[in-house]
Amino acid sequence: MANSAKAEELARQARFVFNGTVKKLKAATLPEIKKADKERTVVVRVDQILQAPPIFTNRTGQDVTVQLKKGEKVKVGQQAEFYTNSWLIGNEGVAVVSLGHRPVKKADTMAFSAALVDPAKNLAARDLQTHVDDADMVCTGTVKSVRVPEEESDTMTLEAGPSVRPPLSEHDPQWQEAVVEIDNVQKGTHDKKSVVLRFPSSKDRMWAKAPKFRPGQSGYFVLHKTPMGQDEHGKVMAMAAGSEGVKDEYYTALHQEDFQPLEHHGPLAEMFSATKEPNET
Amino acid sequence: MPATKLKKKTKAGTKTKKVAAKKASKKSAKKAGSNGVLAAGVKVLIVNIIPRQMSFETNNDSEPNLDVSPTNPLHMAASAFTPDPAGGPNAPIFISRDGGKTWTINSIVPGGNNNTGTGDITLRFSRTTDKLYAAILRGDVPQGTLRMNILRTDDFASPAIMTVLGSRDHMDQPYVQTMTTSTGTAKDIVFIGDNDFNDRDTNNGRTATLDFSNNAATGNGSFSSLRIDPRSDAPGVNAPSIRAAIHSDGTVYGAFMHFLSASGPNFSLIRRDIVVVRDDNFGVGPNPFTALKDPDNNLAGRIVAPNRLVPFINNFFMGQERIGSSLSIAVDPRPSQSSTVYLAWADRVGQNDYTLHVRRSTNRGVTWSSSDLLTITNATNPALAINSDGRIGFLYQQYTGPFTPFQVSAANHWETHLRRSTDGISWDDLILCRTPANVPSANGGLPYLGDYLHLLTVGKDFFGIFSANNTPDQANFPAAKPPNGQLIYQRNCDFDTHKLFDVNGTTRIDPSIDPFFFKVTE
Repeated sequence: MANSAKAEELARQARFVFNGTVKKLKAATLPEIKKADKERTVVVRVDQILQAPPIFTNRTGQDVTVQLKKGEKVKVGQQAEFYTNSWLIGNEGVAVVSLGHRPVKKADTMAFSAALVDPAKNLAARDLQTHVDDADMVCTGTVKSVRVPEEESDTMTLEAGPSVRPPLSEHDPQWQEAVVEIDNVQKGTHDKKSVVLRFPSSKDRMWAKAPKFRPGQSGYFVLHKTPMGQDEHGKVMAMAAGSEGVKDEYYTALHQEDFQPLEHHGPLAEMFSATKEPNET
Repeated sequence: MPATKLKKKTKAGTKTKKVAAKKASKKSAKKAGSNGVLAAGVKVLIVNIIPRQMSFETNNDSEPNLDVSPTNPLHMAASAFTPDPAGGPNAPIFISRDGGKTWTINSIVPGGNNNTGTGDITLRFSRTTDKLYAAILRGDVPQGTLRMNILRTDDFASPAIMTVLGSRDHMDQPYVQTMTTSTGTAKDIVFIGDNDFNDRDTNNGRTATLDFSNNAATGNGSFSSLRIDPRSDAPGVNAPSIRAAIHSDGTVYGAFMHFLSASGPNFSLIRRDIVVVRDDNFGVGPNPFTALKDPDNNLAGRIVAPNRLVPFINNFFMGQERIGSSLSIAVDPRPSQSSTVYLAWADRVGQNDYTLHVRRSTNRGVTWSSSDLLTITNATNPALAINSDGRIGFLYQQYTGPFTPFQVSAANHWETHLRRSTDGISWDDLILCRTPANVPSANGGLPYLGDYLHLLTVGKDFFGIFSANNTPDQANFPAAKPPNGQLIYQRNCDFDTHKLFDVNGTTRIDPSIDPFFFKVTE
């Protein structure tokens, strides 16, 4: 049980998990790693990938450099399940940092039951699950209208005139609101038939991949409560929780995965159809 | 098999380059000689710094930054809007330990996201050690928080996450510079130009700020923060670009763009003063950054160019690029030469243009050249640097072809120029890169190429970084033509067919925006 819990904790922290065979000690596959840096690096052949981001999915059979954590020890020829994260990505190969390793024979394969099918899907599913777990509400619905936040449009009316609100920053999100008519609430509670969410209309890189809503869009909405207030000129701002000036919390959809159209039958549809109650349609 | 095929492709590309080089070398040399573009013996190295193992990527790696370690010029660090390729929580920097010929990703910047890495990032080495400093907007906080972190690492190649020295919300575009004292015990002097939106009304919109430390290598650096615009900016704010130029004798120049008024659609037509402030003792002592007074109002800060129209258009205005805040300042680094300072900025002089200007002061910013040393129409991303001979370098990116606001076509190109001059009057012109402006489309958002890039010198040599369309075509890099030029792509590609390939060497990859390192050696 303790071993299983340890494996799950390591798997939660690591993005690249693989079964490997230690080939060389105090060695590296990347010329960028100098001799002085090789005290804790070992070369490991990747025998089987259990969980990986796309950049690591084609490494089976290849050698990678692993920097062991302080006190971690391995022997040449040793086979182990390595829990790692990315360190260096170069021309000739990659290096990762170890969070720990476990003997292959003791590995809890339950944590990676799907990994043998597709390690990248395994990690993507884990990332999506974490994202959904962090969300305050997940629902399906349809965007009915899009508008400027009321308090901002009020301010503009009151203070209308030249030179009132010149742009501050290239990162200005240019908040808008989408009114979404709810079909089903998959996570969280909401006792109204519609929900108002805020989204950035800006093309700035900070906001460019956030979903841009328009009337008629139907899909899954992954919503997160975000503290917001207004600056001295009435401009709506997202604020850190507990900040002075926070007026309320608003649902936002900022991550590119926070909206998935129904017709795409994407991972959210897959996730929630799998957990649907028997009497739901 | 993919590796073998890749090897053949690489060899073929090299061979083609060599043949083309022989044919082009006489022509290139003749052209260079005829118009004085290239000084004799000048060598140019341009490197696409995306590592081969990231050949799959099509990210918009814009807004690059670079530094070369003064204590070991083989050591370099670069940054861009690049997320961690493994999807981890930290943003990467690019590192080189062989003088820029090969580059590796090292994800050691805290607060990354999977979209842009950080919100903004610039980086500089210590002038006396291999310590690396960075100033970022974190990418992992609620967007809009605009949380600036000041960072430091003792070893830019280690996997240890950079140490956070300071953190403040509601900040923008932190741009770091470093120096060391020329006398006494060497200490790391770090200045960060940033736009501080905190207490904006209390400060009458005076957001231009310098955060600085005179001993940044120790502890958390004990950074101080100082607003450098004494004039009320309300109801506006200073433009995002706030820049510092530091001399080892203690002279520090600061440049910013003061708000005067705004009009037009979305208040985008902003009038600004272009202002330079100065301190003579690294910002220490009473009344810092007030050494330079404007003769008209006796307030700190010399207005170099008054009442300029600086449009702030956060949209695909110039090709697929936005405009609004372009600024650079450089001081002559030679001993006893801190009186010479160059300034570059962009404004509008006609109906729809965005024009770069370069001016100079030789008396510590008291007076400035009355007209431009250089004027470049429809260009952005100015960067100035002066080498150990006092030669000024000016890096910028110019949009060429027929100009219609908010439109781009195959007839438009982005040209990245490095101009150099020994006297500020006669300038040579190296076209480092010339690529179509309509490819790729700006799906990744703005900025397209960046709100800044960077130029620096080590001794006589100029080093820099810019972002551009990454189509592998030798013709796109005129200054890198052999025999005096060299172009290196780390990522898999074929120069014959101008195609990019995945790590497997066979799957086609679409063109995107990549950072390019360059070095110009005399």
